[in-house]
Amino acid sequence: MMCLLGKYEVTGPRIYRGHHPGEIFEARIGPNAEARAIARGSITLLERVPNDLRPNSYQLPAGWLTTAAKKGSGIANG
Amino acid sequence: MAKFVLKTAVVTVDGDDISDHVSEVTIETEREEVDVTSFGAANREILAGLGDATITLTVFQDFASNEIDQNMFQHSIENDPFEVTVKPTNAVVSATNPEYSMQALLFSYSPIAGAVGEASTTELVFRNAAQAGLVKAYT
Repeated sequence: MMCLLGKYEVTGPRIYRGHHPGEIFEARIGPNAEARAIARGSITLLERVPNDLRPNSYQLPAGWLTTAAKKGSGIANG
Repeated sequence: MAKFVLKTAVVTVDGDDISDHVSEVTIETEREEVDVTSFGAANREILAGLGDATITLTVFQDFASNEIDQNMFQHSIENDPFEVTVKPTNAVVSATNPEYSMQALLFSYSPIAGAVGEASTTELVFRNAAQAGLVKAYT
């Protein structure tokens, strides 16, 4: 199940996932749960938050992949 | 945590905190007992079978918008699992205040069940609906 990161406001009268009415929070909520919560008025989606971890924006620790490969942790030959 | 009295238990259904409408909560998890005793045995041999979990709530009925009846009736007619969580107190989740959660379905629902002069309450029986079963979180 793909969960997109979103910024939400609690618009219903109840605490939603630990957030009080009126509070704005960021969370990954499953699409079905999000749709239900919005439909019943518990939360409002303010905006989608882009994924900060973009391709090539990070690198693994030096030697990490080599060390793991030597231990045979799931890298197939060929 | 020492012995304590349930006073501020927190119950959420599909994200919404409904604790202020809940008067009783019971969490049950079990595994089937599968008897594999064979001829010649001196004692029964029991293996653990499939697991199961149920969270049962007694709630005060409320027909207002976005309250108990509106939301539970909807859950009872849909086939889309939703999360139910329970923790002993309203403090932060920790080793001494664990949160139990389960993806659940509501297979039956009684909007009205009571006698004259009584508070209108109803029992909600949430049944396990995912392979993870009952999950206990400490953080």
